[in-house]
Amino acid sequence: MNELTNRAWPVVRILLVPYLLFMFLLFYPIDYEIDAPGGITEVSRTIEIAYNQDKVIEGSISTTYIMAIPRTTFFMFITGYFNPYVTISKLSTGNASYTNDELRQISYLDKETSVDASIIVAYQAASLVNPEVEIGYVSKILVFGKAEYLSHYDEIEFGDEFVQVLGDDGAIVTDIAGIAAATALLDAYDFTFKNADGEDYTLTLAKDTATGKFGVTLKTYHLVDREATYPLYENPQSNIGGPSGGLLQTLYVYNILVTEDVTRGLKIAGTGTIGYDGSAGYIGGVRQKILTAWFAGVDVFFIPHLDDGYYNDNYVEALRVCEDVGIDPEGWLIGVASFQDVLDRLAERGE
Amino acid sequence: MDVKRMLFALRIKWETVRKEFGFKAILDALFAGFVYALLCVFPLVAVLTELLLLSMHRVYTFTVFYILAALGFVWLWHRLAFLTLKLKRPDHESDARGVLRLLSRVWMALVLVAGLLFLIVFIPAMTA
Repeated sequence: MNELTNRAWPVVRILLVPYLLFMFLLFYPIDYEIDAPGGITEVSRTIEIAYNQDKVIEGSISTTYIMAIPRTTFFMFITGYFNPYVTISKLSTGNASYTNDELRQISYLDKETSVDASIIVAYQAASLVNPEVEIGYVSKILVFGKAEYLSHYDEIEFGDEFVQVLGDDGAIVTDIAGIAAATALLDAYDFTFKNADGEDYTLTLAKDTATGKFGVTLKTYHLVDREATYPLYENPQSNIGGPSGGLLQTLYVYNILVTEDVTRGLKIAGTGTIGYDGSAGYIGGVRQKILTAWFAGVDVFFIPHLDDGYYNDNYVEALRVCEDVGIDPEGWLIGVASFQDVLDRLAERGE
Repeated sequence: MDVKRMLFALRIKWETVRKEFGFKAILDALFAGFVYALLCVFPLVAVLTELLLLSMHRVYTFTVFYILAALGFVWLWHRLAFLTLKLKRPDHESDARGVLRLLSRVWMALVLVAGLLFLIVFIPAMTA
């Protein structure tokens, strides 16, 4: 080794600084996020339902994922700047305080809860035509966000269930709406949470002096009650996060539960969140998702379309992307406001 | 048998190289080659990875680039290992270059098989 080192040392000495500089460009993270085209994933890979297994499904239903890189490097920033398929933006202030690992946890929480929403909506819709299908769900309040000033920051995990807070005059509050009114007098209160293992823990959370808030964001979710649900489903671990697959997940689950094949032989992809009432919701990264689906050669792409007059409406934005990159959206790009809209548009195709 | 004769010739070559340099010196040369080749190829792999993240729809093209980078690494590793041996004994007489070339070909074959597995089996399975 020494012989080679001695021989190479003059070259190494000259290249050392540029080498380290290049490494800095390659690895130092900066507060910019990048969205780049990703791929499509058949929903059957993320939701498994042992039901109707003899049913022949001629087409396919896929969600679209993009590469969302929360903290890019200088090198990616520079190369992405010259890449027409890539969008670079400053890391949103809400996300800037989170580590990349925390952003992944939030993304997976979004994914998990979107699967529950898809199951609930699809099972409810399917139960109208298939009496075998049953769905039960429970409402839970989960930790969705944490501010930097949250006391016991590291002890509270994303996705932990809020159980109660011991408010003024010993009042026990178990709902989000009641927290503010019941915690007005003191600077700190005892909050009880339930972790992923089902264990309760109580922490005294102090209010931030500047904002007067505790620094924990809570959100109500409907989660599937597996004991009151038939048929049961599995949700294998996946490295894809985020809620934007909700609409297509719902379509896939519905298609498994009913007799007809709603795909009609089409390679279907799309994007959009799903609300518990079956409504479609906006998503980000429209440009990259349109490009991804186009590169993947899908037959039809569903995208939320809620307001024609809104400049940032997903469908309106998608039309602009199509025009920009030369894609003919006619018959390929379909704007929908709800899960029912998706079924209606597919039924029209079959007529 | 030709193969038998080739293997015998190779064994003789290896014995000659081992006797001339010693086992420790050969290992040291391979280690030196590995470290310096890694230092050279590492930035390239990092660049490819970051570019791949921006162009996932070109995953097959980038896999080919990865395979080429891995082949380049194997070549450089053994080239530098030979250079180290040469620096240790400039007046060497055994065919160290031939032995290392054969070793690098074995590694290259393994890299190619692994690369083809990725191209044909793993990536289609992951992106289906």
